Amino acid sequence: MSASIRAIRCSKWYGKVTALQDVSLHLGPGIWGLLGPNGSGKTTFMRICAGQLRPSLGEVQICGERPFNNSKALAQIGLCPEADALYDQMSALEFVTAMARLSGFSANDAEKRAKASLEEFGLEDAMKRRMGGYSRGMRQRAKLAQAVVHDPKVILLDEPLTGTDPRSRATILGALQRKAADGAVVMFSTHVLPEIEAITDQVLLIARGQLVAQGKVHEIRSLLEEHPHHVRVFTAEPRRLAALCVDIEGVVAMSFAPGGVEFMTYDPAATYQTIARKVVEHEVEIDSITSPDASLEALFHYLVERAAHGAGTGSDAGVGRARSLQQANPRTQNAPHPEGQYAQQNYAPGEGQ
Amino acid sequence: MTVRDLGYRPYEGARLPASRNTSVMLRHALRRAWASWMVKVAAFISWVPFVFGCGFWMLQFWFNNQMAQQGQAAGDMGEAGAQMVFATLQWTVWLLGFLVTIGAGASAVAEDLAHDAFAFYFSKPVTAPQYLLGRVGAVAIWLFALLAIPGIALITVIAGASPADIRLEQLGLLLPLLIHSLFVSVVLSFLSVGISAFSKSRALTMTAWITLFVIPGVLARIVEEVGDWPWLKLAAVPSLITSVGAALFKIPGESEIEWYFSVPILVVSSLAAIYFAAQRVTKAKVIQ
Repeated sequence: MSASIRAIRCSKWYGKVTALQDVSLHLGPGIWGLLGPNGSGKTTFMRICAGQLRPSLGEVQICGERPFNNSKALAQIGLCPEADALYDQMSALEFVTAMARLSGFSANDAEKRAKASLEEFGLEDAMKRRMGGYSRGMRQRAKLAQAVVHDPKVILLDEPLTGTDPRSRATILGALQRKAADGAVVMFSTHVLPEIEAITDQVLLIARGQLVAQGKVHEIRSLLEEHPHHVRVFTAEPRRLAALCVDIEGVVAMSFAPGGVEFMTYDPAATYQTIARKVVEHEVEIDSITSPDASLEALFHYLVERAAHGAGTGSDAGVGRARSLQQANPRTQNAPHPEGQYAQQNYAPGEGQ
Repeated sequence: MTVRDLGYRPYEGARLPASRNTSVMLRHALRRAWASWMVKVAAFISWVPFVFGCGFWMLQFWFNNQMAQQGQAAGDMGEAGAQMVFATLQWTVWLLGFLVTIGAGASAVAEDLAHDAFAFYFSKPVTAPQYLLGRVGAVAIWLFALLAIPGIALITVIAGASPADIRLEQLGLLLPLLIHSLFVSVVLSFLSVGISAFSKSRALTMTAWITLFVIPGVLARIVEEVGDWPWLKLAAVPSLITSVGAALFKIPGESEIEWYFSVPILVVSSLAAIYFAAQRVTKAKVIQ
């Protein structure tokens, strides 16, 4: 069975609070960024995938197997939890060796693999030192080394770059890219968007317990045609510029932002050109023209906001009635699904088995 | 979405069965227990009674020989041997049992709960009973080793330095020693690990264990001295263990509490403690 994560209408409730609602997806080899704000259900989904939680409804399959209480499936999973739960008295080598042994390797094999794994994450010089003396980045790398020491097909990383320095990040991202190139599914959760952008453009956006979007960043962007782009002009003469640009075609709104003017437009290319032309013609002094939409941040906030309006679930949301993205926005129901799939996919139970 | 199958390159070697993870967890827990300075101190001082016991026994042996040479009646060395081993064990149970359970038992589960370390263990093919057996087993093995090994050495010396006619009788003390050490190890490991699952706070669980281990014993002693009422000892773990030891070594009058009161109380409370710990670990591991 090839490496895969499949969720089929997976939901999870903690009492009356819905942490995850009706999540369906199918992930193949590669790196997938699981994006969402704190309390959106990322960790719950990770834990369900890692066999540590049982879904209240639906199911998750790891390489075709349900992971909950299933040692066969658990042997295929490598989890790097968010918690900084290392034993200060132990060395990284002892810790990773113990984890390799729990994954079914003999003492000799486990130690060899632990050394190789720690070297891959740049801990070759520190592996015999007690982890109590490690920096945060080194501790993260030790956690990652234990997650991949047994060659898992599915690697689940919960906020793996938290507290790491740029050098540690480069080491970690390089190692993860190698694992993905070897054919593993790497699911990488974070709420810091540039972390995802640095390693992959395949994203899953989760908000209030719902999968609000899935696919490549540019594909998601093209889906959101109804979402006006923002163009921000930093200038010392915002009122004059606003008066000049009030009749630009495609601009639907204009507001004064700190240090300039912000335009909302459905035609960003034309808006850029027109603003530039008017600035030159009327000799308006400007500092810069930027688009906050150029980063994933804007897309993320937009989707999260939209899910928040349409739903009331998630561990940060208390109890409420939820609607899926499709229900909240009829335009996405008929969205094309060529390569990437946007929004939620509804799998019939048992499909693809 | 198209799922690209890049062709996973699996590990080619053999993997051992998940059932083997009990012993892996046990070894891991043994190493973690040894990391505690209290266990190291206990390992060192476990030999102190042996040294003193040997010295005392040699002195008694010499004294008896002198008495015999002068034609006077010597003491009963067979009974004296049992009393010495029992007294040594009492001392070690109080001190070693306390140190090992505080250092390795009373914080075992609390530390993992506090750090959410279950995420590491249970993302591997490890079950909650395997985890718990590892934790309990490590405390029990350390305790058994620290009680039994110096005890065996002491009995060997006692037997070697005894008259030939009672040498076999002295060696017969090995059986009660092993049974007592095993019983004490299992009871104290179950109770301390059970207490350690009460809270995420190591300080709280360790304080709770110290309270349970020490306070009822001290109160029972005071009440017995003042009011001549021994039954409060039924709530004191060391007193209950003493009564079992006295019965095993056949030391009359050592404990007012009979072993058939003590054993059921210790067994039931140990089982209850470990059941509670199992429930806590299972709940911490997964939310069904």
